[in-house]
Amino acid sequence: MKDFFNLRRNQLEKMDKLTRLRAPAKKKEIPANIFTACPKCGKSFTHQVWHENLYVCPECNKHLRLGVKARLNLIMDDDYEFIDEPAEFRNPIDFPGYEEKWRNAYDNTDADEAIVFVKGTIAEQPCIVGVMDTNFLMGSLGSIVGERIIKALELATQEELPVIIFTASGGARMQEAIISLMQMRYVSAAVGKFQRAGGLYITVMTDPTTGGVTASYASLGNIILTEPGTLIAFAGPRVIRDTIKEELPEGFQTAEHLEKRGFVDRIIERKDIKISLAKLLKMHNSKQVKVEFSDADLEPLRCLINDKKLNEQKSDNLTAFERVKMARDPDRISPKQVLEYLCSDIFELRGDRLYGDDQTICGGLASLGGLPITYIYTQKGDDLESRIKLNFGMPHPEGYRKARRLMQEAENFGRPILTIIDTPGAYPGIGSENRGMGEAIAQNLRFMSALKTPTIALITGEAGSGGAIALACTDKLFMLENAVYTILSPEGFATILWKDVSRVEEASTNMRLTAEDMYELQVCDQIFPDDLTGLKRAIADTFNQLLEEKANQMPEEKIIQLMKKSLINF
Amino acid sequence: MFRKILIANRGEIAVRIMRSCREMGIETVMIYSTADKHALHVQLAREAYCIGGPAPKDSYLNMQAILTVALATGCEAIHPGYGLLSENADFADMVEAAGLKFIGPSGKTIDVLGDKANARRLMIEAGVPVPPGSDGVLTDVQQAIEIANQIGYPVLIKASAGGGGRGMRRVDSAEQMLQAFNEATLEAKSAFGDGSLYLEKLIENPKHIEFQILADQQGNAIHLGDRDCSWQRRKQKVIEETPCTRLSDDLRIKMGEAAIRAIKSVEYEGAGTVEFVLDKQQNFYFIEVNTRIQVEHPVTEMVTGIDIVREQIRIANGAGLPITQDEMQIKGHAIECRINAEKPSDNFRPSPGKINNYIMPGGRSVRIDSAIYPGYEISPFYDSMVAKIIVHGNNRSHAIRRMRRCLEELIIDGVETNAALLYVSLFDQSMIRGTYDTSTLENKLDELLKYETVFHLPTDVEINVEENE
Repeated sequence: MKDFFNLRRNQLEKMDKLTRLRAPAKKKEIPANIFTACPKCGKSFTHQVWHENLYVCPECNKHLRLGVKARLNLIMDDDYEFIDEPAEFRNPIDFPGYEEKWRNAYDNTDADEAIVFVKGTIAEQPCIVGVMDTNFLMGSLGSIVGERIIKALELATQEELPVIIFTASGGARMQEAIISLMQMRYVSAAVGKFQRAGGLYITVMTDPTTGGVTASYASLGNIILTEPGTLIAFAGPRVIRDTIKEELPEGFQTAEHLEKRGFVDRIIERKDIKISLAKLLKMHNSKQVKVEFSDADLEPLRCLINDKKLNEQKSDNLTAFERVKMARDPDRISPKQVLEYLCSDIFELRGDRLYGDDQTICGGLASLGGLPITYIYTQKGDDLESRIKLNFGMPHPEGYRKARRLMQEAENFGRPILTIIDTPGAYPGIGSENRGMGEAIAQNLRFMSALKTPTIALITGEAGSGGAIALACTDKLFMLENAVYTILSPEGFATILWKDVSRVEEASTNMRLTAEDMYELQVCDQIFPDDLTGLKRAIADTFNQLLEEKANQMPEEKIIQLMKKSLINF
Repeated sequence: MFRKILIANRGEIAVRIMRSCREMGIETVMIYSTADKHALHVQLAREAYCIGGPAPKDSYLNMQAILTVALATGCEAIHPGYGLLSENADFADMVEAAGLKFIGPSGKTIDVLGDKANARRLMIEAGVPVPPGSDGVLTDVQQAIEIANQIGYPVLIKASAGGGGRGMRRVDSAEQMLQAFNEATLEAKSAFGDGSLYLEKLIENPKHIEFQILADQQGNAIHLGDRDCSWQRRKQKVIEETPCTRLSDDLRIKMGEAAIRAIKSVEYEGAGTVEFVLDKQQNFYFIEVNTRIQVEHPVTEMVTGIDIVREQIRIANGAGLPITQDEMQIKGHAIECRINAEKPSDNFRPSPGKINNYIMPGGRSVRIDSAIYPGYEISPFYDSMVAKIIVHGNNRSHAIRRMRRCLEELIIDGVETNAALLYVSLFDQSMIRGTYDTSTLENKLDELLKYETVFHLPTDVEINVEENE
């Protein structure tokens, strides 16, 4: 029958030619305001659907570019004011045709330059927000853009407001040539000055963030967020392809790729950006100076561990090796669970800004009894797949470097730091060594020792060697009763010393590795039962006490004193 | 009301009669020949009986067998449909004699109207215009020449018992008369067993206009408007429409009244059709009365809303007419196309065969009366008509457009049909204006066949297909 239908269609066409009195209908364009096709998947949706979906494709989640107005409507509370001086055209190198192009953009877009700053609130958190608009000369970094950023940062310093910039740019402004390049150093300097003065600077990279903007203020955020699918690059894909004559791998230079490479903190869906920013602003704007738990918060944590295990763990006469086995039990409470018990409003931040994001060490911001803190914890994974992915809890150098980066942020903003540790040790491998595992640990030891902000480490399971101490150089070290802290694994210890791995039990005892041993050796300050009884209150009290004490003390001094004292004791 | 009716016919009309019966709550009995074992009227029947071989005389014309079935199955009436035994007075009498009701006029009436010379005389008495000619049967050639000289050539000599063009000759001059007379006499004798002839002036290239009549047993008669059946080939109607666009309201009333007079001149009962020819000067002349349901009856049903088969059955049962003449209203316009399994480009050679599949048109105001189904084999023994497409429109051009659209949708895979010719016919100027007469189709056939090829669906379609994107 299909053949008949086709034949009939052909016949009708011929018949129409023979009988048609009127001219054939002409092709018409689909009016742009009715349907718009997604540039990625090609599916069309009505204007209203795009609008309601915040210009995110309902089919493929492509985040379309937003103009200034749409972006501000999405992010800001209603009442905000524009703070820029009116843009007046300037042509620093007398580039021919520049003025016409600039005026065309000026007349035909929401914006009067490629960046626009407003002062207002995001979910009641006051801030200054800059939005770039690719419709304006591809959001390129001209001298007015540079000037506006510097002025906004100066105003923010004066008024002690955080600054958020939504970047979207093709890079430097070609028509301003070297003057545009200079903007990169000017704005970077201004960002640095603002951050040193204690300002919070958040960037949200939106599609596309490339060239001189990526290579200056976009990448300097204390926190860098981005939308899914955003193109983030220094040299754009076309430039690379033409230069090296190679096809680029799929997903190269996307937000997702850069998150894995450790250059952005988080990819946030457009609909969640406002709430995420509000959360971050709130954590940096806390007036609270103490950890304040209500009595209800301090209820013991019984539900996380089943009673049978709890009973076993409570027995006092376990051998050291039995405690090692308990510390290694895959069903043991994980650092993540402990964090979730202690804190709320957890907001993870990722990446070492150098090489990658190691999920074996996680970190971010959280609220501990209302006080914003920086948390770091290790994770081993809870099933085989995740354990393999997480190297069975053995971090790479990028994990330690991420931890250090987050701790630096904490130090800058005066946030206490809580690390929660359960790791067999740093990952021994080629990649680890190539990327300088020793250096990464060493940096952390020196860095943590110099922190002025209060720090507490809690060992929940295994704390193996350098990989553990790189997160444990804290003011106070807490351990759960069946946690262990070792120079290396008892098996390794037996092998090195006696060349006999079967003597692991003997090694476990002689190494002195239990929590009790640590307390006696003055390595550990306090021990908590595995059911975490008393932990929450102790952490709250300890932080509060440290917050009062630490103001006047040089931290390294204290460490050295501690060492002298412990040696004298023996 | 009858509880059970035997339908003494086959094909689409048998199915169509059964449908009305079913809607009226009347049981039906179908008959069939051995060749029609798989025919749709048998497939749809609750009760069907094979009554003989493929040749009509062995089955559908086998009066005794039909009556036997009717009586044995407890039928109270017989509907004869069209063709076959529908205008057979002997059969009508036989049915009545068996104590059953023949749905149609009596055998006597059929006889009176079937004798053309006699009918002609009756009409003259009733004041119905007839073409100038002999008062009755011709006595000899000499009389024929005399009358012809008087009224002028060309003339027609016709078999008094005839129909369907047999025993009929056109005569253009006195010299041709003898030969034509002898041939026609012989032909009439062999075809009808009666060699008597009558003579009429030949009305050249007229329109064929007929009026649908309903008459009840109480002597009341109404007409349901006219039908223009002039789109013909070799006296076979191809496209019919109602109302005829060339009739003025006055003329329609005059012709309608003449038709009623014609019917009332005999004791008529049931549905019938009074046929006229209409010449270029708008003179109309009686031709004959068809005493049966006609193939093209659906167009009248479309514009009047009256189910003619249903009324036939009600009248046969003694009921009165459904409406008065004053209440009769024609709404809009209707057209019927007869789809025949034939190959117009090959001199309309019948094209029987298996229907592999088909798409019938549908949509608003479209009616399909058909007896085919996918897998059905069209038998060479019977009529080549496979379907009737009937459309209704608010006005004539609306109806024409709708019919074109329907023919565009129609696809029949397996046999070749005249559908493409019908389709291009609907683009013909005389069709569009409604000026066509009974000679138009034949005169224009060559031209229309040129366009027909553009729209013709061959049976072997793969050869011609250019893939559309």
